[in-house]
Amino acid sequence: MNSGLAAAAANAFSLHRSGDSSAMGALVDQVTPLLWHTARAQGADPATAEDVVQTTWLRLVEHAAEISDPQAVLQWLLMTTKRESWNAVRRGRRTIPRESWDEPTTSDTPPPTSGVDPALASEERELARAIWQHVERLPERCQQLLRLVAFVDRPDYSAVSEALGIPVGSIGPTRGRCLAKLRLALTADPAWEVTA
Amino acid sequence: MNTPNHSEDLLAGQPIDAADERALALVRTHLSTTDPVPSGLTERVKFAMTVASLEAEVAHLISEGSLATNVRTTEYDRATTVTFESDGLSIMVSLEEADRGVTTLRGWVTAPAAEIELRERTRTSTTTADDDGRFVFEGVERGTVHLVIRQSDQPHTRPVITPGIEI
Repeated sequence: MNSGLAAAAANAFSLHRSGDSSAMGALVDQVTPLLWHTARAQGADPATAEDVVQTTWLRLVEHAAEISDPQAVLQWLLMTTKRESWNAVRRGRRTIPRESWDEPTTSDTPPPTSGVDPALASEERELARAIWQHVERLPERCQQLLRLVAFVDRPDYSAVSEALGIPVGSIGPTRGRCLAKLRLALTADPAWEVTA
Repeated sequence: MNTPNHSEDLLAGQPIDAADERALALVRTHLSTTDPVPSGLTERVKFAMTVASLEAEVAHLISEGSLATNVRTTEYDRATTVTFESDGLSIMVSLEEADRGVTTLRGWVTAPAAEIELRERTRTSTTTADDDGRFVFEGVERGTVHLVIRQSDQPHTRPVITPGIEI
């Protein structure tokens, strides 16, 4: 058994189906950040992303009986979030335009005003901001993949990439295309002490 | 040959190492600080899921008031009453700070002998209202709680759930 989110989700979902009313609560806490960033990576603005995340969880309650394999729950949640976001963005309601990946935008990274962990060293935030600029120059699919992979551990890489429609083996156990592109970019940036 | 594509192929085929994990951790840091999950979203989701899975009716908040006089005090000796209403059912809840940071929740519902469930963050307890509709939960911990009211003598009535009550 792996120990990632997919396994935790499978376990919570099984408990939920056997009548444990508190099992899903912990799962919501664990998986919601991933779903939030899935919706945001699809171009949903914060209000839309919030609707999408709520809708996705409600669909899980509605469709609980139809999901035969609990191991597939995480992927189901990710795919539903992706589809709901895509529909919402396409309907054009409450959405922001999203530029193509070869003209990276910095407009959707507002300055951190609230919700910033004060304990987080400013140096660390500065590094994080610098790496994000490299991520934003990657192809759109790589941006989407890395945004999500950043929120899970290795056992869940395949669930995330499959849900995004990116072939298995695109990431983990080998570095794969997207991490390789990022690595090359970092190697070329003198601010990073990273070697190829 | 050391063109970017060749290097990329080589890099792509190697195992993920500590520098990759560090890079991903920084991406996570960046997204968590610039685009955090809205506060309260998970609580709203959980409430919506509970309502949906119970097929419950959500009671409306009618009034909220503090019985404590409006005196500036550092002590939490407040007693708060909250009233909810749904179709044909009224629920009144009062909170009393007890010892060691726990609260006693006293309630009254217009459905004698109804089954009352208290949903705390990590646990659920159940009691039955007495013939006057009174019920008590002791040792309630800080956090958001919900009450679920079921009228067992009226099996066709949907359960009623209160919005979150801050303890």
